[in-house]
Amino acid sequence: MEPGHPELELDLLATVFDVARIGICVIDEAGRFARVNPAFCELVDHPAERLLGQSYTLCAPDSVIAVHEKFLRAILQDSPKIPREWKIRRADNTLLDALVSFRSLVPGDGRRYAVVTFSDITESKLAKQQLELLNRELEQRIGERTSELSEKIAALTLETSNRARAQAELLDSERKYQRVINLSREGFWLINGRNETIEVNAALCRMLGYSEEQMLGRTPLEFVDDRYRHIMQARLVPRPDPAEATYEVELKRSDGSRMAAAYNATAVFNERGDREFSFAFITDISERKRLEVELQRTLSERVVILENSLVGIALVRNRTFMWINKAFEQDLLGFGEGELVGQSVAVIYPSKALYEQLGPVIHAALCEHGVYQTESRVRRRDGSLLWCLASGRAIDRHDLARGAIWTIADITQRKQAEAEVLQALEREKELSELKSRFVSMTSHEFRTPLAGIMSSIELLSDYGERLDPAERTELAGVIKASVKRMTQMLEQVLLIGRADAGRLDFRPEPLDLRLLVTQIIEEVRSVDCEQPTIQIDWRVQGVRWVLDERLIRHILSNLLSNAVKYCPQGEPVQLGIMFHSDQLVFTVTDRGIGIPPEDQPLLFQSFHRGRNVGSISGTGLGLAIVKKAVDLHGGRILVESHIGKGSCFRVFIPTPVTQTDV
Amino acid sequence: MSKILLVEDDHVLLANLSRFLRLEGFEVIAASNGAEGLRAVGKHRPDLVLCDLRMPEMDGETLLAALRMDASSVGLPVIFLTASADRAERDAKLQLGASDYLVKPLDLQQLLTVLRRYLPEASSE
Repeated sequence: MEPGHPELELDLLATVFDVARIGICVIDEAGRFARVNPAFCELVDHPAERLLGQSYTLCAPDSVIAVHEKFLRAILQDSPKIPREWKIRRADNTLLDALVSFRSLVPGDGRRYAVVTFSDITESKLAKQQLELLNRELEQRIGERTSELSEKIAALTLETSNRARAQAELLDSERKYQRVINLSREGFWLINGRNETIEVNAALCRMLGYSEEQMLGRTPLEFVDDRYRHIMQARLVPRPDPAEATYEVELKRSDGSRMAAAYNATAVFNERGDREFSFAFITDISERKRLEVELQRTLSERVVILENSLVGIALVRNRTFMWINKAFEQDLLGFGEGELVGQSVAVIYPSKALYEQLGPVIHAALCEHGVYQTESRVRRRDGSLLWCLASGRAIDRHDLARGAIWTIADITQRKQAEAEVLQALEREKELSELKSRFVSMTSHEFRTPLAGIMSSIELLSDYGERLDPAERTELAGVIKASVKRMTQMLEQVLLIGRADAGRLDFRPEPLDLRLLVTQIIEEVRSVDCEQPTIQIDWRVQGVRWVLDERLIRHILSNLLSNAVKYCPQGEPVQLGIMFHSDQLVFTVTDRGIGIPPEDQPLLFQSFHRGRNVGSISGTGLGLAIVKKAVDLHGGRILVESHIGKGSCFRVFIPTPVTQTDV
Repeated sequence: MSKILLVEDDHVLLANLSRFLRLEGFEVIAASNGAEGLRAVGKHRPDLVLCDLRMPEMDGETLLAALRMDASSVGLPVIFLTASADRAERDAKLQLGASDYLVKPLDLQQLLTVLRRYLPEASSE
């Protein structure tokens, strides 16, 4: 085609106009479609006849319709402000997107026209949209994926770091464990399921004197003393029972020596129940063993000490004997060995009442002071009572449940000695009292006859001529009697002194008893001015008897003068003499004041006087002398007496009969 | 003539003292124990009592107390005859109201002196 042919150009253009797939329309100044091409009609789905002469707003969206005049003007002026993508309305009111280009045209007729081309970019737009959507989706997905991935990465990172930390901790723990194992003074021995040593610590190596290499792979059996093999073998089986146990064994050192060890073994099983490995802690117990022996020895020593103590020792808890030594149980109380352990202490109390009574007292003392001491009697197995000094000390006075240690000492001897001392003191006191009474009485006893003598002499010397001879004789008699009386008293005192000193002799010889008795009676009567009546009941043959005259004299004269003295006037005194089964029996009976029962046991003691003697004079020596004399004869003296009724003294003198002499 | 009541359980001394006092011109009432003595005071109304301390039935102290409680005999001179060697004891008796005391064995002349002190109108021969 050659350029420049106007009909060609026009045809071309017209063809182009009709054929072009791009919608073309020409809009006049009034906004009416002047020309439309088939493509455009297709686009808007209006036939050309419909479109031509219509306002472009027919195919415009609402947004353009609102400003169609401004829009039109803008198009006609080629305003660059108009977008190049328009939406056009189709006949069915749907909108489609089109790429637009336009130019204003002023053809030869002077009127302005706008030529607008439309490319349906709906599809492409849609595609683009879809693409965009897809893009967005993709992006979103990518984003999601990315965030997912980030999360995963973060999680992984976390896990990794956790793992790392855990591992570090494990490592740390492992290290610590290793340190513990290695620093431990206990030996550590780890063996596998085949009983091969897989780990040992430094302590074990030290204990046994081997290096680690020397022990690895070997079984513990190789290191145990033959005597304990069986124990070790019991542990090295697939299922040792119990899983964990401790044994005392002896292990073999590298130098051949033995080490006493506590072997604490634990077997560890896997899920199937097989022994995966075992580990053991080994403790060197040599020292402990040594201490045990030492302790045992010390204990034995202590037991020996306690057992051989002479003092009774017991541990009492809750008023029960927990432990008691031999001295206490057997020696002091007479129980058999072990009889008292577990028994209540009530067993050794003299009475149940005392046991109950002392309970709170002892408890209170132990609480407050921690100690309690008493002198008390305890009951022996045979029921007899024993004086003891008992001391209890609480083990802990704030916790009496722990018990108390009691010591017991036999104080019988001391008590006896005390009693004896007391008795001696009593006697001494008595004696001293009696002596002082004797002294005061003696002074009275002497002063009375002296007064008699004095007054008699004064009367004789100063008033002698005014007295008649009978009176003078009487006075002389008084003097003589008084002197006699004093002499007698002196003799009594001297006699008793001699008798006490053991210097009184026993010199028996044959004598005429009847004569002697008569003399004695006379003497007794002569001393007393009242002339008492003494009746004789003579029931023996007048024979000669072998007797100590002085002693018999003492016996009879003392008994008779007593009878007379303690007798009211006029009452006769009776003297009976008889012979019965190789014994001479003298009986002196009076109806006097009698002897109080309390005084009867003391009757023959020196200086003793009945408490009812009142002012009757007496030295208190008469009966003492009688007793001594009777004793020297080897005889006995008996008394029977009632207050106010009288007394009867019976003297038994053993004597062989010599010859009869009438 | 003054009347003296002599209360003494030792009959020797009682006899000798009675004899002596009579020889010296006193009228003597004799009693051998405190109870008897008390009765004698009531019966004979003596001017003075010579009294032993230790006697049966009633001792000197009791007799003295009885006399002192009785208005009629509260001022009666009572002289104790004591064998006690204890000075304090003797002085204690004085506190009880005895007029005087003499120690046995008696010095008869001393007895006279004391008697005259309490019986000024007693004649001596």
